Amino acid sequence: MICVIVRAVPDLVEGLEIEEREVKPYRYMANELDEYAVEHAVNLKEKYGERVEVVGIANEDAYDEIDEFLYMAIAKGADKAYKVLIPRTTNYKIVDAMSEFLKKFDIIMTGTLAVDEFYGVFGAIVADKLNYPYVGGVKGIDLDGDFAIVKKELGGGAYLVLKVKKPAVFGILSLEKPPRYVPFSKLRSIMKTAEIEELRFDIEEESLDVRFIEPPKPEVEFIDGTPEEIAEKLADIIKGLVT
Amino acid sequence: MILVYAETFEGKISDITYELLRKARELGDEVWTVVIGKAELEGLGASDKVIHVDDERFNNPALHRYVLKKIVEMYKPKKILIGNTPIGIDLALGILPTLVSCVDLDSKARAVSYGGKVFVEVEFEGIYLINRGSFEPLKVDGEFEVERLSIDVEHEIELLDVVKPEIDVDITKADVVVGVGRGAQNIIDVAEELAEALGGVVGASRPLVDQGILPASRQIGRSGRTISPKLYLALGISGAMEHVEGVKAKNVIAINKDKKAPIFRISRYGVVGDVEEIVPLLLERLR
Repeated sequence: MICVIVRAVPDLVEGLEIEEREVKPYRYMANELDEYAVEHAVNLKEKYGERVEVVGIANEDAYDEIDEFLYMAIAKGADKAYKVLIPRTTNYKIVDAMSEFLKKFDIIMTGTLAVDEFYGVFGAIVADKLNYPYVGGVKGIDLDGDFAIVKKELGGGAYLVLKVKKPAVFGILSLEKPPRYVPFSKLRSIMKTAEIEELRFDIEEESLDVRFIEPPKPEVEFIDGTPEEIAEKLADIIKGLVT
Repeated sequence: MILVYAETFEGKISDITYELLRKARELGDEVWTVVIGKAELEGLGASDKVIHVDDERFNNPALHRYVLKKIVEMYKPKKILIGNTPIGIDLALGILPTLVSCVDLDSKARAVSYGGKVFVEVEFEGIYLINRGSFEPLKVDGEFEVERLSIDVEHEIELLDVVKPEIDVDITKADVVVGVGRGAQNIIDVAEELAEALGGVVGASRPLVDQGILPASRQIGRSGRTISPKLYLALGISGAMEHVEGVKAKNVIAINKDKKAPIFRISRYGVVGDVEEIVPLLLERLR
């Protein structure tokens, strides 16, 4: 049975409010690499009939928004969706509380990283907590009896092919083919019929002594004007730089 | 003691190891370097001691995290410096506090997060996954003490194959690179023509490679290749840290709709605007 962890993360396109002790997003979205993990899991379901359960984790602000991402996972083919409300804490404390639940799965997948994940790598923490092998940077996954065969990216298109004994944890980085398309009508009907089960864990709070800083203003020279004027100025600059 | 993980692949120590050694040396504590698998111990003279787990079973980098875990349990280093690379990130041990995308380290550590839009400052002891290019390399050919260590690991991860792509175009050697990102996916043909007009090549950020629009050989960044052209023209690229790490260009010109896009932080000239509108006009003038 496969478990996919999907995290609600700040939508970076919508911008962020940066305070010294807190980063406040205007909107949340599903972590893109976690959505890739859903794709891989559903591929394995289609190929081998594996059961796929998705666990959404979100803080108070994103706890309603995560429903949509979980319905999307069901629309893609996941068998069951749970959601977990997390307090202000770290990945380490979340995994401490959830590890017993995660023991029933023989493959646990999530994104290699989330966009706001800077302290502890979720998948690696799960693996060490359960004493399972961990491989991150995964772009492909197949099954062979007691083993998973994974492709781990090395960069520049190179990759390792690894045979990993299950149970195991994988951090997903990319897809080998484009993600499934889910028509809105299908998503809407799933939203009416599917249920998301709330899971409650005793997750300890942990506040990190961290300071968030807005990056310094860039020293870039911005070129203004109409599109034609901009193109004209840019062309002159480029000619000066490349000849 | 500060422990530096020497990343190796196919018997060779990766360059990022020397960048880590520079910082480790500055921290003022004893510096040990750990090399896992068969490798030529080259340029590690900045270390007080090298621990070499000289065992061909560990030519498989996927096993390094278990070897490192044992070494950490044995020697209890205060700080562990690891390159934030496709191999290095898997060494983030779940048993220790770990900072991802670290760019500086003294009494406090600094990292970039939120796609490059926020800097994070935090004080702790544990693992620092350090971004490429954060420190000048320190490669020293002198003498150093080597301790050979034999270690067993219990996890079964077998390396079946190493697959390398065919390189259609070598973007690392081009003088001009026109980079296309998500914002430029509708004008790839225009970008190709522009690159041709400038005697350059087209490179891409990760999303376009993931979507199969361009081959992996064109990918710029942490999980792609590092480019060092005279001019990098970044079209519709937000400039997340993963991408920017692979850009060592003399001049960067970026066009992006979002004035706050991190790509402008490494740019000499910037345009806040629509690439679909501006790039065709630019091409007309450079053809």
